[in-house]
Amino acid sequence: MNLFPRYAAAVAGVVQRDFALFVSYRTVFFTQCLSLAFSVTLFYYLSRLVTIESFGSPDRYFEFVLIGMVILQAVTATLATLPGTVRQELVAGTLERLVLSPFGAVGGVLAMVIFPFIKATIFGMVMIAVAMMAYGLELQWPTALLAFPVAALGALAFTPFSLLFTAAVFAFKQAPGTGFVLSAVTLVSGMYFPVELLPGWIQWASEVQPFTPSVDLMRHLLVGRELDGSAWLEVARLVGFGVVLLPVGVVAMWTALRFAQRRGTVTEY
Amino acid sequence: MAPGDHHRLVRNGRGARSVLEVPESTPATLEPLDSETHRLAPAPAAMGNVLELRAITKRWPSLEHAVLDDVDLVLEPGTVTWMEGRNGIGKTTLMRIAAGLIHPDAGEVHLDGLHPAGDRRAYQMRSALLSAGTGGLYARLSVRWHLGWWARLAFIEPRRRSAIVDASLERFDLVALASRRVDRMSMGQRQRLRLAGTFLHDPKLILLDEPRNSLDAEGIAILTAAVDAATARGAAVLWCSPTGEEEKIESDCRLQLVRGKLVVSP
Repeated sequence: MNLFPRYAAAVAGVVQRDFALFVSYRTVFFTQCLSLAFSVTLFYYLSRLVTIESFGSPDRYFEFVLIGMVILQAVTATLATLPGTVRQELVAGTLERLVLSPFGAVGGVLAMVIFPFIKATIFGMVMIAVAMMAYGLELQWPTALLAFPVAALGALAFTPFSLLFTAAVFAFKQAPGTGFVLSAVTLVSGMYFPVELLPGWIQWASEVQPFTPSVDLMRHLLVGRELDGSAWLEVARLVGFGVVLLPVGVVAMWTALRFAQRRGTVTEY
Repeated sequence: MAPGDHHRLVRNGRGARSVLEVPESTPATLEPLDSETHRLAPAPAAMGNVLELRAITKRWPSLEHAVLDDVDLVLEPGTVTWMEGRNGIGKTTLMRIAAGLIHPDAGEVHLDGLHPAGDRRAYQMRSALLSAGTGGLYARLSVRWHLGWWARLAFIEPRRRSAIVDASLERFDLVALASRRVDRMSMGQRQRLRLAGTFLHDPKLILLDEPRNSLDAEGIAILTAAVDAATARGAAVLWCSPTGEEEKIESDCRLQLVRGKLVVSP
């Protein structure tokens, strides 16, 4: 039996399910776009206040923070959305069907990463489009398309963290650190301000996670901000984080599922 | 004719024992039961049995005694086994263990010789659990969408999927509701959808936990027909109901769960 088409169909099914649920609320796309447009506007006017030397002009800070906000969409989609979705599935009783299917809960949860990432990519594009049309953002077209594979690499590197939180949901029915980690990541990865502004004793934290290289690379590709080192080195760091941490995340989730099955709490919430 | 009479007639027509009789002999490997331990005699071989539960024990931290205490159960192909018991006695726990949803503290579970954890994918391709209650549905998605989704999860071949979904809509009288959202359906209609999902991939082991929930007479007849069709193709059905439920499906074996032990129901 060739399993590949069956796994592929199940993965596609998960993505279609998430899409169908998303569009079943007809205005949600437009209201989220509107909300993002307001955020872009807010930071555009905040950037008018920024005159520090490292940016040179308010427009440079606007570019900087805009890409940080775009990445934050992807980070939130991968880091925070998945554990919340799995918990919702537990409450609704729909996760049971995944656990009791040949596809399995681990495959199902991995597939659940895809739609939020696609959604985050689309919303990121909306934010950039608003910034270009309304506030004159200049995109680096020659390299901008490379942002897509880099974003995918970033998602690959972020996903293990999400899987760890999802493992906590399987085992303990909650992932209480999600908000805290999201805030910490926002702080140390330079999404809103350069990490050089952080106190020296905490700057090491910007080097030991995949969010900083992802933000730096995206800024380089989309708005031409200079990198401290080689772009390939940043790509290698992203790949490294993904390759090393993804199996860790999968094993953690599989172990947590088994733990919950042994305790008999797998359907509890 | 009451709805219950209808199912008796259907199964009696296939030569099954009457539900009103105490079975002379339960499916072969359930005999003999040791009078003291209620343990089954060891089966000579796994060949021929669909499900084998051996010496299953499960404890919950909040309970002093084991909810399942050294329970044995063997289901043979083409049989319906009725299991009853008081609320909270452990019926659902046993069903979940048989489905591979939770693991026992001790004991062995095999479906066609497969282990629920070690052979997870093959095990799940052969089994189906209808949980008690009304959960497991996406309120804003349609009937047809659910069946298509479950077909994908069950690894039904892509080229057969559409035909199987159509057949299932027909079989569970859901054709007129195919495009309706679940949250706009009655509880009985939702239960028919949940049942359709349970039988969708022609599982060899069908575990039905209080399946008549919210079903009207017509729904019960549809369910009975589905059970008959499943047993006719060699599936084993374990049907679980609370003690005292009036309508009983025709069964080949009636069991009762009492204080963690499975005994032949009077």
